[in-house]
Amino acid sequence: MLSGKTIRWSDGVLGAAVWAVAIGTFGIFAWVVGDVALRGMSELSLGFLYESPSNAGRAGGIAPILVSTGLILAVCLGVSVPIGVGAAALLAEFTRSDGALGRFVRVSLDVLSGVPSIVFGLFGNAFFCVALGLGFSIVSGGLTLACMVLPLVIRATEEGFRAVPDDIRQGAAALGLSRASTFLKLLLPAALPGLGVGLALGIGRALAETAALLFTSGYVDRMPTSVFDSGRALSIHVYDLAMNVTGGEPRACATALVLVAILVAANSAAARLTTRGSGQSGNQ
Amino acid sequence: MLPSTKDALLIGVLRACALVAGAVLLLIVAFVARDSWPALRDVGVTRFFTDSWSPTSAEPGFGITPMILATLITSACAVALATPIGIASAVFAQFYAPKRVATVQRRVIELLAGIPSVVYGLWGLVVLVPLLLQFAPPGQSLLAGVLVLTVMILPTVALMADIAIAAVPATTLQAAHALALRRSSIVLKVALPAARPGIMTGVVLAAGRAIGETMAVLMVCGNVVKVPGSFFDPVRTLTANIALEMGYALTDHRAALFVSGLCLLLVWMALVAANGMARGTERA
Amino acid sequence: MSGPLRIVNPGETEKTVAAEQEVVLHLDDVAVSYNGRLAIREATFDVTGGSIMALIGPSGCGKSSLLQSINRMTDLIPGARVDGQLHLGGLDVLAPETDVTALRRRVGMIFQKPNPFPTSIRSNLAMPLHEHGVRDRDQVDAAIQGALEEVGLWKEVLDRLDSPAQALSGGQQQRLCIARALVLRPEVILLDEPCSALDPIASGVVEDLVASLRGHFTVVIVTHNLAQARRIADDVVVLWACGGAGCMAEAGPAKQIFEDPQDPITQDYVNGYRG
Repeated sequence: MLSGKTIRWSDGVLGAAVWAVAIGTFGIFAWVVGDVALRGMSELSLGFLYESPSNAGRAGGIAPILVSTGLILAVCLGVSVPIGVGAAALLAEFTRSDGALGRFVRVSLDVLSGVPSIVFGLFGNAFFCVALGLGFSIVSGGLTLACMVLPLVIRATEEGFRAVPDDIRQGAAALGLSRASTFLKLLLPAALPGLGVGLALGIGRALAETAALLFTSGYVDRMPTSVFDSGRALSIHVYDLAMNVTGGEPRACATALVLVAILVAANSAAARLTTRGSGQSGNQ
Repeated sequence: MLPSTKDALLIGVLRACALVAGAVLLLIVAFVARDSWPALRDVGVTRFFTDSWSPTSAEPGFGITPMILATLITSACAVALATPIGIASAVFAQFYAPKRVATVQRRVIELLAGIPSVVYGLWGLVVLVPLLLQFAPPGQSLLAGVLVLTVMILPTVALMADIAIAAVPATTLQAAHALALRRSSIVLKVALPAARPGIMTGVVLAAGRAIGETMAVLMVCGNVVKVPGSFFDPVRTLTANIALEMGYALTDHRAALFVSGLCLLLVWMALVAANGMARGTERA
Repeated sequence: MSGPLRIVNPGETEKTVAAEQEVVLHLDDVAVSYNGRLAIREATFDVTGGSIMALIGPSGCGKSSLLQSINRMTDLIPGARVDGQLHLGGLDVLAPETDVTALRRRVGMIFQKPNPFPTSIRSNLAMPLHEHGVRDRDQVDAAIQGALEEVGLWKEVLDRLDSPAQALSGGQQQRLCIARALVLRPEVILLDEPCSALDPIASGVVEDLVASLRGHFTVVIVTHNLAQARRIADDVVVLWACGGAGCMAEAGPAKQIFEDPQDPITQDYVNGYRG
């Protein structure tokens, strides 16, 4: 930062513009979250969380929806985490940096991470619902979300592996530890913070998803009896109340508030795991 | 088991995971293309641009031109608005803000990035649209879509610009200070040009997100299939079209929706390729 | 430079040498190169059982590369290539069919920067044992205690074996790494400047520990600290930089190298005029 220099007018203009933008972004954030919160706050109660919706959602609660959301998340993470950790391990530890498989997977994942969510919805419908015959179900939705979340999990876990210092690998090799032992007993446990970040980011992305679930997990707002039942996620519920149910806006805002609260929790978990992970690798 | 057998087994499992991860994109392209094929074959590519959009009438029309225009205009305007604001926000955090304010600002941007699109859509619907309604009915309009999209993609540009500016070598900035350049010059003539590749990537990601966005535009744009005459006209984007009609579309109609999905997918891949080539030539 | 040297202690004949002190490590014309670029060439010397051999010389003359070739850690470096003859007892170390895992059980290595695993002290020592087939709880515990006693850490850590190893001080960590190598009862121990990352006091403790290994293990230590080599080495190999790669300037008993060096380069180096 410059000290005690003449402030020319261009400095002043840029400075003013930049401060205006900053205040503006604070303002927008406050406006969006605050307004939705205010409208939804009055509808929130403890009962909201454990009752079922009635009157098309204008009354009652969101219990079945919370359960469906949880199940969809469980399917999503149950599939994407093992595959993601395996792929990240291969990319970080077992390929030469110029290997063909590594390059193919990386490019593929980079493109995958920006594919529009509606296209994921179309794919999920065509592949999981129709081709694999799973129909509108929590499983279809969860598997579709797993595809969406895979690049995030892999990227974060790969960072976790790269953060492990090399002298661990050298020490293990000098002791004659097999690559499998080194990986399973030393590298994988040490990379867990990275995986945690990936998990939290993945949860965040999955919860925020609506378009991909519209025609994969369905609309049904009853309590699901199995993962093959159709189920409604939180985000879909917000959409339905806002667009299809007259007078549903307050409940939509309340549901949105619950959704944002869960997301904020997931994001701060990710942030804390990131700082803790980097702290650990800084230790001697 | 011999260590070498264990090693081979582990690498085999990891390779399988990586292959599955890399194959997801291929599956998506394959299945979206497969389910688009009936429409491309029966309806023919030209009719997608010359027809009107009336897929359920006796003489079905599958023209998607108004929706392509709606997508392009909303995205282009949103990117045009979000880019300078996002860059300004990053400049604020890096050059103008006291350390603690910058940290808070970054946290706010990250939170904005995590808010689900359906919540932005909800806010747009209950706050922005009534506001616009007072100026020019019906409120749900192209303008509403542009504004909501801008707020949504702003964090992407801001965060990527922040990373890109932070990556400018400290020595470069030190040289600028040593030459007694004033702050606005350092920002505009030294830092931003140096950070351009990273910022461009951020803009590309933001553009991808804008083009692919479904829920927010669906909720605030009005969903009338018409080439917009003014910013206050209601429009329907390609993504909203898929979301609205997929639930009841049959055979050719469904295939036509998949065609528009395929378009979106190909546009995103083209964006990635273009950005990749641009960065490649810059490095060379 | 000079041809292969047989390290013979003064006053002993060839016959007694062969009977009492067998050659454990034999290097003949060993060269290490990375992607075609030579790091060290024509390294030829023998190390007798139970002795401490110091590899000394200024930085950049391939001492570490040479050391790493002995337990084939060079295999881990892409583009690394080792030529020549390297024998551990009867085993041809460099042969492709040699079992590297078994080799590294017989040859342990200590690195410049202490690198304990990010687990407990006990786990650091148990892991190599488990890996090489020793799983019986009592055997493992006994081996752990024995190794820790050998490095003088037992009394210091016996009540916190399950605490993190990385919480130990630098000197303790390095002694733990030595214990971790010793727990496998290797024949040869390679040390790559084990004291240079430690403070003077810890350095002294580790150096004394290395000296105490004499007679129980065969030790090859790389060090750029001439005084240290003078203190603890039985035999010395002096390496120097010749035209971009390392080469041997001289080799012989420590006493001879430091008091009566033959090669002018060695003379200048050990007297501090060069390097």
